[in-house]
Amino acid sequence: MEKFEYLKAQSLREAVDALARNRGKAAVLAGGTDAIPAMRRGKSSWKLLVDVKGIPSLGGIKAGSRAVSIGSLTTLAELASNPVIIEKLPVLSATALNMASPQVRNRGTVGGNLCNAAPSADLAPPLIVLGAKVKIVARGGERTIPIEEFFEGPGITAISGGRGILASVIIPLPKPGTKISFKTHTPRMAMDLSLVSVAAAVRRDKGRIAEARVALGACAPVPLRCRDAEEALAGTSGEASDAERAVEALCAAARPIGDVRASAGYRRDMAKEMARRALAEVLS
Amino acid sequence: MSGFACVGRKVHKIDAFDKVTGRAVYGHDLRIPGMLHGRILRSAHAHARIAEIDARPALGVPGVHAVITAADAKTGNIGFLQDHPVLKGDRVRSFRDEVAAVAASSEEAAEEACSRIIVKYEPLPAVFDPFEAMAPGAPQLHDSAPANIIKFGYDFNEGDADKALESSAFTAEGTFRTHYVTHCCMETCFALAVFGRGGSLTFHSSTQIPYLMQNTLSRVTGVPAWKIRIRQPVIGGAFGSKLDVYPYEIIAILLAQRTGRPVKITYTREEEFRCTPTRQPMVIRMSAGCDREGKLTARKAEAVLDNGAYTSWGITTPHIMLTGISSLYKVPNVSFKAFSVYTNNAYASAFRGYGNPQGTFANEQLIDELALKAGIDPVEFRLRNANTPGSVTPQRFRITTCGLSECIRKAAERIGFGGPKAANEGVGIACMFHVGGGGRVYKSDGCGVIAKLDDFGRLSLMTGATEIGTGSDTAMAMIGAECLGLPLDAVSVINDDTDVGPWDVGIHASRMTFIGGNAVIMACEDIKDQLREHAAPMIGSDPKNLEFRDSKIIDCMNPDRNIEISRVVRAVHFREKGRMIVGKGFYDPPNEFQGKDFRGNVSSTYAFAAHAVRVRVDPSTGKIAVLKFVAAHDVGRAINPLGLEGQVHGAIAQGLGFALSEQLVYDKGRLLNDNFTDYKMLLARDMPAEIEIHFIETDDPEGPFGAKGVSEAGIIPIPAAVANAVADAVGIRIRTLPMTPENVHSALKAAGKAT
Repeated sequence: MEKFEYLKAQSLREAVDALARNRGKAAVLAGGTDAIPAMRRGKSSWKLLVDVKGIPSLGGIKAGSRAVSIGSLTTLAELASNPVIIEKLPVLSATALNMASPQVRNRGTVGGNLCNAAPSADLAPPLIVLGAKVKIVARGGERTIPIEEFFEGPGITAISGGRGILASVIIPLPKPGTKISFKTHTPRMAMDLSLVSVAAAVRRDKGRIAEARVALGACAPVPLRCRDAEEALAGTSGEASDAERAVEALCAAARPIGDVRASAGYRRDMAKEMARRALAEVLS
Repeated sequence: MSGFACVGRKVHKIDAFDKVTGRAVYGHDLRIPGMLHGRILRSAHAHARIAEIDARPALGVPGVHAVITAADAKTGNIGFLQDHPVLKGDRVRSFRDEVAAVAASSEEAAEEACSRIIVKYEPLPAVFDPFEAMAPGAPQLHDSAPANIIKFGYDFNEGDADKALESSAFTAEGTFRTHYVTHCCMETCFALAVFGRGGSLTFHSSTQIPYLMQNTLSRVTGVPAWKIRIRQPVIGGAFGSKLDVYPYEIIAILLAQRTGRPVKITYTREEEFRCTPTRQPMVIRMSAGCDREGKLTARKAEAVLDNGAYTSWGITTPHIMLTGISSLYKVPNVSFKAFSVYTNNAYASAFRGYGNPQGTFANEQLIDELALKAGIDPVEFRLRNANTPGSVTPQRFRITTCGLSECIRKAAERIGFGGPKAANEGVGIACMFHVGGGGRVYKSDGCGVIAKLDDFGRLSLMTGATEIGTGSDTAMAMIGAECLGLPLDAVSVINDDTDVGPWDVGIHASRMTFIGGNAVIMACEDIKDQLREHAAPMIGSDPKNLEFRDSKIIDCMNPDRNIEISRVVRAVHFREKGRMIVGKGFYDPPNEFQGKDFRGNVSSTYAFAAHAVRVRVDPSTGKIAVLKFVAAHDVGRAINPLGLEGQVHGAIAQGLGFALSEQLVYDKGRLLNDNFTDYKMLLARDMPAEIEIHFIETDDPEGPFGAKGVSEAGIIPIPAAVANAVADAVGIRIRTLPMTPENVHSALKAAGKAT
């Protein structure tokens, strides 16, 4: 492991400044479950780690009447066990509970899972279909963008290169009549990375699908929102044939790679299967 | 119950508390004043000439004490065929090849120094498949092996298998492929070399062969063997991986010699994956036949082994594969051939079960196929062919106690063979045959124990028998406690030092409890004879009436005449012309070293088992869920049933991992998954929800209190049992391991059965 400087930031401003001054050479240290192993293995060589764990405004889960705000320092364990999340956004608590191990969930953060920008990051597809936005704090001020615009490539986000800090994720509470499903395919039951994942959210109004959102994980350089699949569902009554059209649209959008975990062909087959399962659940 | 005071009780392993509370001192914990850290630079190519090594830049790194290359390492070669140079001078043949090594005051400095060594390579064409390696024009790896075929093979024939197959009513055949998996010891490899007075070497090691290691280290380094002392701290797993001596161990010694300081090499987890040996991968073509009544007529097998670039124990795994092929069930005609081919891949060593899991994967699937063809239930088919006491197998193994039929019945009954099944559910059974009474794979199969009784009734068992996590220390202590009627707490096993423990050939072949246990009994009998002689006059009894229980010596004719054992010892010490109470036992079992014809009773008894599994296959993903697992083992006698259950549980986790998920993935010789994220050991939630373990106690006359060796047995039938269950569930035969979701899905697709 190469030598590096460590800064324990006392404020958001200090952290943002330090990252901007050391553009491309500095990284945020939160739970350290990705950053430290990557540095140990020589996969990244940051000259400066900016520890944000002491910045209170980055923590906590706040529930409003219309939205829930999840601070980026929220650990996966907190997300899994928070009563508000369990009640209002159970797909997130269930997803968090299925990620990694208890030890890693106690350290790993929501912000880390998103900023690491792995195509297979399990929090991304459900957040996309929930219509989540992320709040970014940069030197020039704050901005809020849809989460699907946050991911720019494998390991690359809208704040890469010292362009700010992910402060929180804001999730609108699902409207009545909304069904959400998230299906992942992993060879193991626990401590595994998704080979493929599909999230779907559907809101019906008087039998018709008023709103549909579908997202695909681990099948492209970024977690993918699939608008073609959404359009295939919108306005329909959600029959099997509608679902099948959406599955086809989703498969057409999938561009998986082959790697040590699975071949591209198997990932394509599993994208179809997970899409079928997720849609069957939300359309039932 | 047996009427034993200690044997047969469920007890926690005597080292368990220290291990789970972090008190146990492993190799990783060892620190010696002045100690340096060693690190190894490995090849950047699968096959290349080394044109030049410039190590000078490494010496400029602060804290570096020495850098060595082949030019500095005047050592002999290592490995089963001594084809393996410790440091590679002119040529590298695999990515794991050791090119240079550094000793520095910190691990970081050593790593930094390694990265500064400049090696100029001239890449050579490489070959990664044994069949391609045999083809004309393939790169040649060693001069001794034209066409890369190693002149060390197996050829065994009993009767006439070809003729018998021709005239068999039914035959089945197939080509089976097993893959690279690795041991995944919790503790990564370490070596700590310390030179002392007069050039003596103390070598701290997690080896399974402390006394054989003295010899090898001496031969390779030139340090006289009598100056080499092996110390073994608590060992964090071995599973066969530590039955050989490897370059890093010699390198630690060379660096210590060069620097005059203790040098320790500790592998990172990535190194552990990349650089330790694997299970031997094999391609096995096998056929089997039976008559109309389902009696086996013949088995014929040919195996090709990818040897990798150098030869460790992998090349000898056919030896044990053959035992299962020749001797699981009664089969009169057997033909077996196996040979190994050099490639630029990883090399294999010993791994729990040796070649037997690989052979049984083929063997037991063909049994199911024959049963299907003959129209006989697979359980009934196995019972018709099961080994029986008093029989002799084609390799001249003399079957004494044999609980195979009971194992089959128990496993079949408990899994619900022939009962109802849900859609895509299936049940499968597979059996196994393995050595259970030692294994004379070396000329020696012996183990010595010195037993010492102290003034306070504490029994110390000093032995060369190594504990690698199998629970052998606990079993030996229980046997000692049983023999002398002492509480288990009053027995300690001291086996960390070749200067103290008497000879043992090593911990392999599931032999430690069986062989070491018998040696403990002999040493304790020696002590009992001495105590009887001293105690009899003290309580006015006849020595032959004296019994040992509750820490006392008791006259069985008149129990009022009794005396504390510790009092007798004190009386013997504190007197004129005093004596000490020390017993000796050396057990070398009545088994035979096989000749070149592979015949001879290699073990003094044999272990049998039947495993049955219930699986559910998801036809749209290929994922196999193991719903229930039943393991029935002929264990002779369960010395510590809790330890045995742990052994079988561990074997199920390791065996299901081998069958379903574990795989070292190489791309042109380079390992792609050197971490636990992508090398998928099964975890708690992947284990079957229901596991039943049944012990069939056949009370073996040669075993200590009737026990047989069982350490390896648990892993052997698992891949075959799962494959048989998958065939029952979805009607496809998987002949290539591992049965990952993707591989099963692709087989289902090929058969038009994927949904």
